[in-house]
Amino acid sequence: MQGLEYFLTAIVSFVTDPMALFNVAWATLLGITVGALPGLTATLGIALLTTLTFHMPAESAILVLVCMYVGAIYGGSRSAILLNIPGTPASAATSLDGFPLARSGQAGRAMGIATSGSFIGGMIGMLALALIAPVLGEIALSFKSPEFFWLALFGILISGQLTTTGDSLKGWIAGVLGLLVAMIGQEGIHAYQRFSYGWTDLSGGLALLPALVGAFGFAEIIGVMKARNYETAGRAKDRIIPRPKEIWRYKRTIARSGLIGTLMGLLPGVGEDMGAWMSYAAAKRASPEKDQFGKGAPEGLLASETGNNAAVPGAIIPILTLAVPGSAPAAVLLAAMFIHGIRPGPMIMIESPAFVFQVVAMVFMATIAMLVFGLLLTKPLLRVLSVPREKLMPLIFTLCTIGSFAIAGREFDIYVMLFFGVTGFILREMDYPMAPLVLGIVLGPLLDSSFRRGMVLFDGDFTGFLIQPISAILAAACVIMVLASVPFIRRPVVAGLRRLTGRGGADS
Amino acid sequence: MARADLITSIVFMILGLAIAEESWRMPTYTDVGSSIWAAPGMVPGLLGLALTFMAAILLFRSIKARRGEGVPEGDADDVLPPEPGSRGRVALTLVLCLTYAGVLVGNMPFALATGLFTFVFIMIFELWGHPEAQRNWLRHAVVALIIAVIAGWLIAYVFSNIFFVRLP
Amino acid sequence: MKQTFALTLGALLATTGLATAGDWVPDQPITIIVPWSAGGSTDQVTRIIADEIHKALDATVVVENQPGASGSIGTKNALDAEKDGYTWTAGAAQDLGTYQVLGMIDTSIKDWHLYLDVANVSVIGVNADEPWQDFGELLEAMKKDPGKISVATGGITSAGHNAMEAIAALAGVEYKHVTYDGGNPAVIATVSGETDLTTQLAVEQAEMIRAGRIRPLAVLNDEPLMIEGYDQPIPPVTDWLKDFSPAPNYFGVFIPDGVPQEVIDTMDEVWKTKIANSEALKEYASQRGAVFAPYYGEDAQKRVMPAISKNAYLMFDGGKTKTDPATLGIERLDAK
Repeated sequence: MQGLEYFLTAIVSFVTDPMALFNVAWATLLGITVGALPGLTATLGIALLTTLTFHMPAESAILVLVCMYVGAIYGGSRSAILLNIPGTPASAATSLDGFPLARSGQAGRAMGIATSGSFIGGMIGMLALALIAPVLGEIALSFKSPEFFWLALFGILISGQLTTTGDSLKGWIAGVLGLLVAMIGQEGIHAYQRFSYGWTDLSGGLALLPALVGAFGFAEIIGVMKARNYETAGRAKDRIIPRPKEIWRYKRTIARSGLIGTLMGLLPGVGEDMGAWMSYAAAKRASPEKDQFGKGAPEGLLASETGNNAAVPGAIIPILTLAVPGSAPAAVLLAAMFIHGIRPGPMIMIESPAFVFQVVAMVFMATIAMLVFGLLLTKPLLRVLSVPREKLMPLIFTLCTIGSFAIAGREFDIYVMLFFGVTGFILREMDYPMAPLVLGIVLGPLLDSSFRRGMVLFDGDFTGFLIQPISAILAAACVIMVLASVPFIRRPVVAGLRRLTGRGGADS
Repeated sequence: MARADLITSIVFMILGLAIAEESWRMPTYTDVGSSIWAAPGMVPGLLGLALTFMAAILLFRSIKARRGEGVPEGDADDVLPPEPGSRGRVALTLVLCLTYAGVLVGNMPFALATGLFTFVFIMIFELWGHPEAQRNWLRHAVVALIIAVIAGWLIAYVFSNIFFVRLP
Repeated sequence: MKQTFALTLGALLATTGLATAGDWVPDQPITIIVPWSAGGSTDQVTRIIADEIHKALDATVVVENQPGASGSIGTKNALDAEKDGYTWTAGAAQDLGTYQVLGMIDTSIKDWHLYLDVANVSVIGVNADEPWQDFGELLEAMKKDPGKISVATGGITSAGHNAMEAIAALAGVEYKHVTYDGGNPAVIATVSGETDLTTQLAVEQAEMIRAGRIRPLAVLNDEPLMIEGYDQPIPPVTDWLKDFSPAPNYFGVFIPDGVPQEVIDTMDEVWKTKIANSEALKEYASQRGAVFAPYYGEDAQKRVMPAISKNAYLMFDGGKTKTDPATLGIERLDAK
């Protein structure tokens, strides 16, 4: 109950301080903008603001950064829904159902659903942060090399399966291609430069962001310009604020996605993007309307957006309890705390519990601000849809170019973006999905180092990857998913299950 | 699609094998006491083999599909659906975008490059194949010019002065 | 307009005696390229330094993260930038000094003006559940079971690996080397029990030591280390290994040679008068278990050499590079 008191004190101090409210407002708005622009990510946004907020008191500075973080992860859904270009990797799953909804003239509804999902997800994550942060911090510690290896593999398999219809093969090929891209450059164990051939730019590896902007952004631009006749998705006249009933219908999906998102957020190296993918996969598996997923299912959109925003407070949990960031943007947030003389770590609950609940209050303020701006901005944002492609696409391409350049200030990244754009377009034309490829680039280093590190720890004995309970479950899930895709294994099993349960639906 | 799959599966098989071969030749560092399992080529090698294996399945399937269809003709265009003009539009988009990002950016002030690109892009795609628009070309040009000037200036300003990004 | 303003301000400060003796007045933002990810130990301390420089010169200082290839990409960009004094880099001097040996960038430590801020030392920290109570017991255990005890480090070029290699060579022990993607993950792996111990920097272990999750057995230095909030000093490794020669890992900002002399004069002055008295930097150091080290010029060059030499010969002896550091003017300092 002490905690509630700290929380309420912090909330009151924020609400009664006009300066704090002003900070919440501009930082969240800037965050949404950064997230929505293809090429600017939450990580870049927080890093920029860390410098700009140096002279603020610690509390205000962290408040601004938390608002930027929450806003940016949410903002990525705007471009994912309207343009089919996820603004951040976290929104790739959002575009699966968000964009089809928008194309069918329900962009307003889609953005409303996404906003509600993000809001509720943020709140679920916040509750976890407030109530059981120390316990969850310990869960993060129970993930060691074998668990991370299986989780990374599972992520690729599931994303490959979800982004293809019927047959997962092309999704998995795309995923493996992404993993292979991640192998380029200096590896983490011997500092050997793989596939770089003495090229300094390659020896650093291909950065995620230019690849993402190319595969999603540039490839989409080419795809849009290709069609001879292109209808702008008519002016949506649907409701923007979703009916409570529509959201309540999916209460199970929301609760599940919130929990999955929080869990994915708190695992180091596994971030908001996996929060969205895992929630989406779980929602599809449990849903009675599986076949609607990928064609504009509100449930899928809700799951993805709840999952990625729940991962934000999730990623803040290990920052506070272990001083380990749960995701890339969270790493910068952690650095900012150090710079402001705050010492997160296992002692923080004992030494400064008030700060922990201040952070909870910051997440609360940011999530509220995100909801308000999200709903206010929906109407003006819908205008994007009525801009003809001839005028819109060059502007988006300009943003893709400068965004790729901005992340590290090197022209090489522009060429990376162009390469992934052209290759991505060709692969998309042949029904290879881009999302597993991008996720492969994200998870590649984790898969690589956790496999080799685990093998070193177990002296080359692979059974070490199978004996712990969590790794055994994840391994089983991977194996089942692969086996189920082999027709002559799946058919008898499905038939058997039908006989057992007396109904269909085991087929995914 | 079967024909495209046939080609890509062969490309991926070769790529996968090449990667596995490259990985095999990487140093293992076992001579300095490191475990063979920690060798840099371990994971990329396995991934290369996985790619080859999956591409082989795809190859097998596409052969089966082509035989099943029995109609070798008519799918020549299945990579790009036979919509008239779409190939030209793709080519034009590529030329414009690659020229802008690959050549103009970095060799002239960013705002100028952006403005130029935006103007040319809008003009070409609005006028090409639209006789009605061609008659009113001046009006289109004025609008495109306004957009180009504002876009070039605004994007350069926002990125350099608000996001503190150095422009290329 | 901006320039006139800055000039007037500079003149104003000069007359009031606040300005530094050098006459460099920056008229555009100074960029410090941090060649590592945002949030790492270089990033943290560089942002504090950036602010001190901002206050001292009244110039905008932008910290830009350009991570990749062990920091060599960002460093190379700073080296290739126009030599106008507006693009610097930051990091650990021992990294800067060994890029040439590793064949990554053709630059020697002598090509840079070093402005050091803190020195970091390694600590041997074991998981709190492990039985070893002091460093002697750990060495016994390592001798009994060669290659079984696992040591987490931040990678082959990391401070932790350097430290463990030095111990292994002096004490004649073998260990199982497990690398992580940086110092903090290595420390967490020790806390979670995946590895038995870590030899990463005190900075990276401080919080876990305070919380009692990691037991510090020794510091790789010749004097004990105090960490604020931990009740006893950490004994120096020389209590067990007499021949150990300390090589502190200095961090700082680096300006490439060839920039206008006035830039160097001004920065020397800033380091002498401002950084040497910086409360923010002192506080950061004492909280994080680092050593306050505001050195510059020849003094700085001399101080960073031991760590560079150790690192370079470690790579060479370990077969990571074919280039003999001696051919690049790096002398072997410790007899091994």
